[in-house]
Amino acid sequence: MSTLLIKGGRVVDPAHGVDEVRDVWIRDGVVAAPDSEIRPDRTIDARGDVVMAAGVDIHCHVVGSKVTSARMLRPEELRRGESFGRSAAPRSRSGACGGIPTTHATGAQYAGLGYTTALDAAIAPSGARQAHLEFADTPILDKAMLILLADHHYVLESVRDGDEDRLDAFIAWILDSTKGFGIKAVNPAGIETWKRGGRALAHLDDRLDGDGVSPREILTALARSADRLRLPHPVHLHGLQLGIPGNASTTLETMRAAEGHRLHLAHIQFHSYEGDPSDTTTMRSGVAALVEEFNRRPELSLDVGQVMFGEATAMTADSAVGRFLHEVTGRKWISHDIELETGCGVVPITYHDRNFVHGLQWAIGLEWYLAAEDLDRVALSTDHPNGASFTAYPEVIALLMDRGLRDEMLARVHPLVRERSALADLSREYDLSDVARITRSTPARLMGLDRKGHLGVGADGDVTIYRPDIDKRRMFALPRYLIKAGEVVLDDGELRDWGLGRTYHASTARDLDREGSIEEWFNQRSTIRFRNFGAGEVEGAEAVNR
Amino acid sequence: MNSSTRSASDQVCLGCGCLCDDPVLESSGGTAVVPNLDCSKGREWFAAAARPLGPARAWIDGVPATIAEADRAACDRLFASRSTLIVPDSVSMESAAAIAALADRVRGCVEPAALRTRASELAAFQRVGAVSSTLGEIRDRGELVIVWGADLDRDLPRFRERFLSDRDLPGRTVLELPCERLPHDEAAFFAAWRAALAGKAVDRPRMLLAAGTFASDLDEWSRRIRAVAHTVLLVAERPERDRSAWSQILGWIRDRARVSRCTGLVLGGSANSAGIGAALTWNAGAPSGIDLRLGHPRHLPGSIERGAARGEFDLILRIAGRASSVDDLDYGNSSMRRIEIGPDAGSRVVPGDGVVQIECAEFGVDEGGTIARMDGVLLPVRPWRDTDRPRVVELLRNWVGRFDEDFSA
Repeated sequence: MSTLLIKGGRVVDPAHGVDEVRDVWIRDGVVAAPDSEIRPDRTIDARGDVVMAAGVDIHCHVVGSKVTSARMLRPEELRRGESFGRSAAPRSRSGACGGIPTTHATGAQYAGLGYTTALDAAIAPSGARQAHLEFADTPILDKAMLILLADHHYVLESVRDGDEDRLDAFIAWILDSTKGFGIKAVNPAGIETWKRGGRALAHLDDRLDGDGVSPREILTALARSADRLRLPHPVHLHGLQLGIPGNASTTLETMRAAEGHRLHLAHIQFHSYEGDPSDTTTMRSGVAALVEEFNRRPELSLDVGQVMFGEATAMTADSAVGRFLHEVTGRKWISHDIELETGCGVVPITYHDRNFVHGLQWAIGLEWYLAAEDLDRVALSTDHPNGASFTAYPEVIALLMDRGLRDEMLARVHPLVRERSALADLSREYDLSDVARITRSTPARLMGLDRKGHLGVGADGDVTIYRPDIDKRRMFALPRYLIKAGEVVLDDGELRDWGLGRTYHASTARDLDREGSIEEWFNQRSTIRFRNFGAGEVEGAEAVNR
Repeated sequence: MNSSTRSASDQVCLGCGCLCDDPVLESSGGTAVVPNLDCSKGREWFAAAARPLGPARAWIDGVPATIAEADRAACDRLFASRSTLIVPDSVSMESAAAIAALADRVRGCVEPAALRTRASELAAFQRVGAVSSTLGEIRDRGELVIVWGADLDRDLPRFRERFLSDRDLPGRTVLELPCERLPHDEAAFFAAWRAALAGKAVDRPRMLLAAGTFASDLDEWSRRIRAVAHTVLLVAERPERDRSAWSQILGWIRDRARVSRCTGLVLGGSANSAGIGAALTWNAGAPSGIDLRLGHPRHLPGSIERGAARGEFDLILRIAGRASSVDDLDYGNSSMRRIEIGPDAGSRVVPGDGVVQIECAEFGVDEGGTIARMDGVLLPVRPWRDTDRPRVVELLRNWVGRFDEDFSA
């Protein structure tokens, strides 16, 4: 029995409508009711400080073969970023930072920002084994991964045949086998089209040659299956035509296609452009119409994928986007096709504030945060490391809290940005409760993690304590304390504990009667034997369902 | 050794980089047969792997010791070392991760044996990138497959049957250029060929000269490449190929991928080089040339060999699979102290030579773990032979734990 008391801080806990000075008690790793009979083992004096649940990142790319290939591809990032050595803390490790940090640096940097949970948004089924090995070397964080399924041949065949039971059985099996948390859909049917050498699918009702299925059919079938299987998180969608001017109309169609089923729209910023697809100079923000639709549809949620200026690395399962970026930037390029499952593209990218397209992307991201009415459905992300590193979160928060800072930045970007986006007209400034929503309560609730993102009794004892600062970037970049499961991990700014967190995966009811046919299909089609597929044993695994 | 007969399906064969995972293994007291495996190399590997291992033995400076004594001596020397070089070979990804953890603690350097000869390939990759695919994609979509400098039947006996069969893609064409017909100057040749395929003006006589004996096939191959929708270039590993040549080859694949579908793959992958490289990369930022002597990771290609030649290391820790894999390596001077762990670590015991040797289990046989195929696909290796010998991964993790205990104060 250990008890920690965080005394006298300003507790900002929007999940419970709390913004007031009060104490937070943590007993045996979970938030507990105050108990005057108990003498706490440690008391943190938080008077004058801001106390929030620890941060939760709902969309990032921190593990898996694409991330490690990018680490290998970009030694310049290793050299650019600060490295750090081991400390006296138990189990501490050295790390290399930069845009694609090593696993230990990833855990340490997230903790350094006050985060304890991260969801890797795109792991190929056959890559789950590596991703879990990387998770085992990623300290502090509780984590989970989404499994890329929208272009899996078994899914395409099941959707083509309209066989929902077959689809459910497959998804239940593959999520259990890979210890995946949920379904990631990337450009449904688009990756398979690319692998066949075809042209990108521009509309939801375009059809994949041969199988005849459309992106809409795949998307709705997966969304229905996620609901039937009671997965903790809805289908997490990277839509069609990422990055292409004019894609806002497809995104609008996609929002309507959800048909009442839950759907999470990932990095919506990259899908919110109006203009001529063949002419980037015509590009302008499409947020206004999209946000109106979003506000009307409670089944939808999103993360933004904010672009920040500087060095980034595009990494995506959407292979065609990888090739497009390579052609646009002329920079080195990884493309990797993964049998039966998906693709992969990696390209370094530098976002320049004087570049019109980059400036517009930056503005469109901020527009989303500021125009969306219901922040219980909007989560902070930079699509790390695509739009920027997750270490840029404090800077994004500062921009959301301070219109003056936004105006200063807006004055520096390409002049056309002001004309082509509504950012200059948005006067909203986030308060601390808004910040806690997009970084804590909303992502946790959308992930179905009942014990994360809030400070109610029974919640995980994951707490961040910030020292108020007029410089909001500094405030959110340098928390005083991070408490993880009741243990003080970050103690007055210093990392003290490098313990390994949990790995969440979806709890699914497998249909054993159907798995014989899945095994037969798999052994005929895959170059890996059915028995050798999957993640194997995963240390610290914890099942979650809805 | 347990002498009872056992049968195990879907075992991973480590005989070559194909890592076939469909063999059904029947093993009994020092013999192993794989009746469903039509592969001379695989049968040889399983037969050799089935040899009975003796009980665990260890030596300290050539004198027999218990495992516990040698384990302690290895630890003491590691922790006392001023500068340690760790050279892993044929270990699991779990062991590679433990090696990174150990190197971090002792502030050592890591240079995987199998990647030592692939530095120029890595440098080219870091300059150009790579367009590649898994073997199943090649099997299913590789309309025209070019085998560049490899002898598939000798080096990867089941490759044709598993990944290039007409059964999977009727009408597929496989073009093969044997090693002895490779252009002498591959960099110059591929640069010219890229230009020619792109329709740019080239000095044709010079290109043909660079092509060597391949010149007679060049036009026909080029015609076929232009005619198909999906080309695959399978390139044999060649230690002597320099960065320029690798850059041109990777650039050739990338050029073709910009006009049609084209992917490439380097044929190799023995000794779990891809898996070790990946585990080191996520831990320390690079697959090889890892230097933690300043306390944080640096990637310094070539510096480790130079450092060894200058006598910068006072201890080398060799973690090897079978004897043949690491014996060729010669790092540094003979006065360097050594720790050797692996199934054949006791194959050469010389009294008084400053070596701690510990015979361990063998990865892929009596030690399990994860291994990467040449295309990066990971497979689980399940042990199928019993042994009392310590597992490599356990030794390494124990050393890490002991370091933390000894130095936590």
